[in-house]
Amino acid sequence: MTKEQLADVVRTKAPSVPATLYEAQGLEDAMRYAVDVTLKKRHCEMLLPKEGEDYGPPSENGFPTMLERFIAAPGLSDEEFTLLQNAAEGTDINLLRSGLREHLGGFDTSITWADALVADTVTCIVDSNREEVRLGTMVAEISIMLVKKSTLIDRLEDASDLMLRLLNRGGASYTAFITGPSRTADIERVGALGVHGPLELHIVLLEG
Amino acid sequence: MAEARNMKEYHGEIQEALDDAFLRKTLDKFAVEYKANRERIFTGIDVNGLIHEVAEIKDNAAQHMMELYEQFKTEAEKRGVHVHLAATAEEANRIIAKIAKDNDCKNIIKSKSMTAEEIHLNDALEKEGCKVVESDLGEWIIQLRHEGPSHMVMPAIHLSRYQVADLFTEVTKVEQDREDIQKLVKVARRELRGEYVQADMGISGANFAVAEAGVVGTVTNEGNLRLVTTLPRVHVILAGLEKLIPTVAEALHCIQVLPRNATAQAITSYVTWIAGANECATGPDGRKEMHIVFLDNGRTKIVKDPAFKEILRCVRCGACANVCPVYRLIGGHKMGYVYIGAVGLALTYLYHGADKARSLVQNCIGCDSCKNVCSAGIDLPRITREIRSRLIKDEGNSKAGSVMSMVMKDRERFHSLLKFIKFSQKPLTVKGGRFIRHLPAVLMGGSDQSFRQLPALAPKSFRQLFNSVVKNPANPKYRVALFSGCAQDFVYPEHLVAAVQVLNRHGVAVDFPLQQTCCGLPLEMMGQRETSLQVASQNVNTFEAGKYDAIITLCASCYGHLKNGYPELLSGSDDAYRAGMFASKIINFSSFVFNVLGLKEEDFIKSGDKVTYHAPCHMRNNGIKDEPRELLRMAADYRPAKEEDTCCGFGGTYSVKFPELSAEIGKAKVKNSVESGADIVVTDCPGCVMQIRGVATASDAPIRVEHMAELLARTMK
Repeated sequence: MTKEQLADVVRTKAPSVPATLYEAQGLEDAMRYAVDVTLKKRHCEMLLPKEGEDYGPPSENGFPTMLERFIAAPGLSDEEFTLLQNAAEGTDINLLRSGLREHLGGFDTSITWADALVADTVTCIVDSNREEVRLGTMVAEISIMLVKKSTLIDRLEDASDLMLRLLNRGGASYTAFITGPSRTADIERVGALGVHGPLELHIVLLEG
Repeated sequence: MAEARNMKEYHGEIQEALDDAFLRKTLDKFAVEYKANRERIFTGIDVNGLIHEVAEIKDNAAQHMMELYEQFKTEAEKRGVHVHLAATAEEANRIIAKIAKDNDCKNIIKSKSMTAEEIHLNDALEKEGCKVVESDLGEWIIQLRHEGPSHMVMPAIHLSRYQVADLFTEVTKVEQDREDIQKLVKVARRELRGEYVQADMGISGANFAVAEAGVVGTVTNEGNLRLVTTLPRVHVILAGLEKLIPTVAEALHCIQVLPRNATAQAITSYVTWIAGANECATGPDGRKEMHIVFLDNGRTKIVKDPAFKEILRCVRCGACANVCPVYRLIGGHKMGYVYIGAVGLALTYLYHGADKARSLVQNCIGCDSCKNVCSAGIDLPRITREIRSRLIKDEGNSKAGSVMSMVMKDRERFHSLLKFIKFSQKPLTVKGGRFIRHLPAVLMGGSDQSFRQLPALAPKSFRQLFNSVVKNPANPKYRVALFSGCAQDFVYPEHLVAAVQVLNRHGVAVDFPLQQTCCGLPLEMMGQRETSLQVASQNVNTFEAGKYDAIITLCASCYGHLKNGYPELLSGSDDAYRAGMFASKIINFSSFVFNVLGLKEEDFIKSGDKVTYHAPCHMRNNGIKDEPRELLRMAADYRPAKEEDTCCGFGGTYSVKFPELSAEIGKAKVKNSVESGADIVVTDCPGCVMQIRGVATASDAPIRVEHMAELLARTMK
């Protein structure tokens, strides 16, 4: 299949994953999307509240919310991060590039690169060697994955070469297949999202 | 976690489960939905081809287990991992406790691992003064309740939202919403976040330990594993040696089946591949202190045992429980010790010993549904029968088993006994001599059979009738032999008479070799291997298979056993060749008349009878699905019933050993058949006829039962 046909597969299958698909007009647009998504959501729940700190109104789950907004962007290059800074200018969003262990109570959004996207299952393959990338994609309420169209692959079985490259790139490695948000069906087999990690997964598809 | 020490206690445990209304409702719903969801997710995929490949991959891996271990160890050590090999559960626990002690770890967070359950790791670590928290939602719930898992994939499936809500209220000291599952899940999200942060050691399991890259792959939905393996400074992976696999490509292949079979997902939310001591801000030198403990606990012995080695293919998808008619009634706590479902019966014996398994391994009805759905094509019912026969070999025969073997190893003695019963049963018969009246349980070896009316032996056996009913054509299209099986020879000869009529009418010459005897499946089910081999040998030597175009049986259970069981049982014996020939000629009646004779609508005067179908387990689990239903459409007004493809609860001796379970399965079958609107249930097996007619008669249900041959004989032109 051509990359465009694979993109069509993703367009068809993303909603049932569930993953929200956004086709961006370049990186600037992608960063604007991340900022928009963050501004539209309710403030992040604080899962590790401290006594004596001030928090916002309780969430739908009855948990305290944060007064500030945060986007974590581990793994972006300097230029990409600058674009994100530009997009967030004039908003109340705080940008985090590292030090995510200081924010384990939660942040609103993370924006990270996926190394490939498997069209058939809408699976992001993410080099997660960096601890900050792992934390970003787990602790955020909304995880945004940036994916280049050129990295689309057809099926999971076709990923073994890429996998071997990621796994053998010298020394230790941590590679993740991520398909949708964190989910469970452990209570009465009823599906529920966000049991430990993201409540939502967004895929931003980029040309190139 | 079945704790019964004997059958009496086990029956008590079973009754507790049967009385749990929530469990029953939940598992009924699950059984129906799982089947439909699985079918949907495998649409357009060659599932049997995939399963076959998984079997080959896993067999090959098991064969090279220790070489793969060495290769994995080399690769993992290159990446800064300490690799350990534990011979026993105790040793694995000691190693992990020592890692905790050496690294000064007190707070341990775990992601789900059945292998950790196998070795009771939490207890061992808690004894050493560690705090252990399970982070998988289901595992956390059962940990808080001090229970074991009741399903390998959904450990808390036995609990209602109300039980979970009350538990969470108790744990958080805050009143929790009792209805809203989404909110309950968020309680876990918040409560566990602090536990991850506090933990200094994470323990996880493995789905695959890939030797070529020293990488461990895990398949999860919740993502808790990612936090467990990222935040604490020490990480320990516990993996059974059977998780070793040569290549990443093979692991990816297995992943095509595992989530589809487990939860009807094309892929789980997360598949995580960890190779080596990764970056960790709080670890020594910014790296994780990382250990992998491989567990033997009998695995290297199992791989050398031809009868058991197949079990090492298991990828722990849990599907064998999902389709099991017994699991559906009693749940995992009563159908396993740590491991659950059909594979649990076997693994309990292999990993936890005969004491824990003795009663449990009796609780397989032998329907083959698990074999048919297994991710790796493991013949679990065969393994369960093998365990029964090993227990007898090691511990001596039961009284019932000895008597059964003594009677059945000599055909003449067996058949004389049946003749004797036929004459002496008269005072006990009711309903015109067709049924035996209900006998007190004490006369039935303590088994309460009041749920069904059992049939009386027929006045004349088929072997007595055969010469008077057969009218072979002068120039036959086919020459066949009939394999009657005991039930039709002595209880329901009318099925065979009807079959002879249909076959003769359509130009088939029928022979009935008189030296044939019981197929031996009831003996296998009772662990009577020696006698089972004797009767198998007698049968394959009685039929001169080369003389016939086919050997036809009207009994689904005989069919499965003759076709699949014989070649396996007799392989390596003097009769191996004959068994292969014999098995290749075996065909069931419906397949023969539909596929070979090619009967068509015009061969019947379509009756207006409203009929439904019961698909015998050993037909549908051998891939025979459409033939009987096509025949029904030709001969009568076919009304499909709900769950036609579910066991009737007969299972031969099973229904005597576990009457309380047989009764429940049988009642559901009769209910569904009646609700189809049909007046007659048609089926392809005398055992199913006995069960369904017996339950329907005992409960005065408005439905009759007929064998396919009877319906076809009375409607053919």
